[in-house]
This record gives sequence, structure tokens and C-alpha cells, in this order.
Amino acid sequence: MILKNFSSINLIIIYFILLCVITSNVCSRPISYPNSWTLMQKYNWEKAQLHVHYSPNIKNSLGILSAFYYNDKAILHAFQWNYLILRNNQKRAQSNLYSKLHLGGIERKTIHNDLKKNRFHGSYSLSYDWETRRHFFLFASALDYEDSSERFSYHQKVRVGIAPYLAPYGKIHTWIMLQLEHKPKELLSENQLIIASFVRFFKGDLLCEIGVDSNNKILFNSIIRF
Amino acid sequence: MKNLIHILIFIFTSIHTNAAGLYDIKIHVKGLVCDFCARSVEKTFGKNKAIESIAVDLENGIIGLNLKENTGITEEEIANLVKSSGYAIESIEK
Repeated sequence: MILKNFSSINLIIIYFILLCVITSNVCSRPISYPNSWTLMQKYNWEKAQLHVHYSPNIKNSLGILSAFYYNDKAILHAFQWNYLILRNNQKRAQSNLYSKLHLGGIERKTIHNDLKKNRFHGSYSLSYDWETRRHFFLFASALDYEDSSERFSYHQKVRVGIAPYLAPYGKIHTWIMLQLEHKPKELLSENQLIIASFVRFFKGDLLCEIGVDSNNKILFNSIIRF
Repeated sequence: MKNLIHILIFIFTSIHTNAAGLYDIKIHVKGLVCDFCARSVEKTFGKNKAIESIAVDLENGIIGLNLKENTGITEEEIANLVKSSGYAIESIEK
């Protein structure tokens, strides 16, 4: 009855507000401003992840990461260190090269599907991004190590984005993005190359991304900084 | 019609000049393209006791500062704050 009094546009607005309040910020910045905390949440076809980090300066961030992988019901807990290797500030553009390292343990079910084994898990990745007020480009490549028979795996990601309008500072900013994710070691061929399109919104210290991938799976990321 | 255009240009230029004169200090910086990342400017500059208010102009790559009465800030301090925010300084107008 109450819902009947709302127009569909009101419901969409309420939905997005709730979405932002419940989850809040993931993005372009693996390191925040000096002496700040960042909470990053990721939800996609592969995993649900939560990452909390502290940035003592603009070059480093140290944090804890936890993820749950749906396919093999694996749980990862790790320490993560992000480092800004290089930043190039230009008049109308900025580019960054980051290194990201995480070391921790992953708990997977055995082939008998009952016992769990905790194994060492590490990952090192390099990520390059370039952006103007209108365009965005990102390339990231990661090498993962796990103490198991298939020790090494790698994956890479490309993102391109365009801002449909240029909002002034402090207003809601919107980006339309396309992402290609290449995971050659995935068992299912449909998961080896995943294309996702999504919309990124941000305002103030809050950012969220929502979209859908080529397997019709929902993608939702969010970040909040404080 | 020509006069109307001249009047509009005059009004626009006047508004623009007034807006530029709103700040005690104008800092032209490089790399100021993303709103989400530019929050660092407010957070970093906001910690300086001499600063009353901060404005960020993404379109022109400008950080505008207004200072508290009887206070001052050196160019070296400004340069350090810009660097800590993650940007590169181009010029400072006082």
C-alpha cells in the first residue's frame, strides 16, 4: 500500500541510497590520503571480499583482506600492502603505477568435501591507471601463489571508462565503464574471459559501482573513506 | 545583436574575474582531475591552522584558499601540502 504511493523513480533513488549506506566505497585508489582509513567491499561472479586499510601517507597503505570464493567455498584472510610506485601529474591528466602484495592463508574444502586445509596464499600485482576528467583506463596484472599442486596462476584486467557529463567538485560523478577480465587458469571456460559493464557513482568519500557481466552475474563494489 | 553579445561577454568576464578574486591564494596544480581523489586536498589542507576555507576547481585545476585573519602561509608550506595531497604544483597566485 505504501509502495503504491511511490513512483518508480523514487524507488530507484531509495534503492541507491540504501545501497550506498549499507555498503559504501571500491575504486581507483588503492591508497587514500594521509592518516585515513578505507573500507572496500567487492561482490562479483567469483567472490565476496572486504578490505580495510590504513594509509599513513600517499605512497603506502596497509590493510587486512578477507574473501569468500563461491565455487570452491574457499575463505581467504590476508595482509595487504599497496605501494604507489610512480605518479605522473599532468595539466589535464593523472597516471599511477601501483604495486599490491598480499600474504595470508586460504582454507579450501578437500576432494572429500568435508575437511578443510589451510594453505599459504600470496599474490603480487601491478596496476596502471590513467585518467582525465572524461576518460579512464586501467590495466592490472596479478600473479597468485598457493601452496598446492597448481602453485602459480595469473590473471589480468583492463578497464575503460567515460564520464557522460562533467560534474563540479562535490557533486555526484558518474562513469560508464567496461571491464575485461582474463583468468586463463579458471576451470570453466565461461569464466576465463569475463566482460562486465557497469556504472560508477561517487560523491564525497563514497563510491559505488554496479553492473552485470557476460555470464549475467551482478557486480557490486563500494568504497568509503574516513 | 552584436551589442548583446558584447554585453554578455562583459558580464561573463566580470563574473569570472570576481570569482577568481574570491580567494586569498590560488594554487594552480597538475593532476587534479578526479573528485574522489581530490578529497585529499580538503583533508590535507584542512589540517593547517591558517586556512579558513578550501575550494577545489576541477575544471581549471585550481585550489582556492581563504586564510584566517592575521595568519599567513608560506609558499614552502603550500608546496608541501600540495605534495602531501598527491599533486604537483604549477604556480601560486597571492
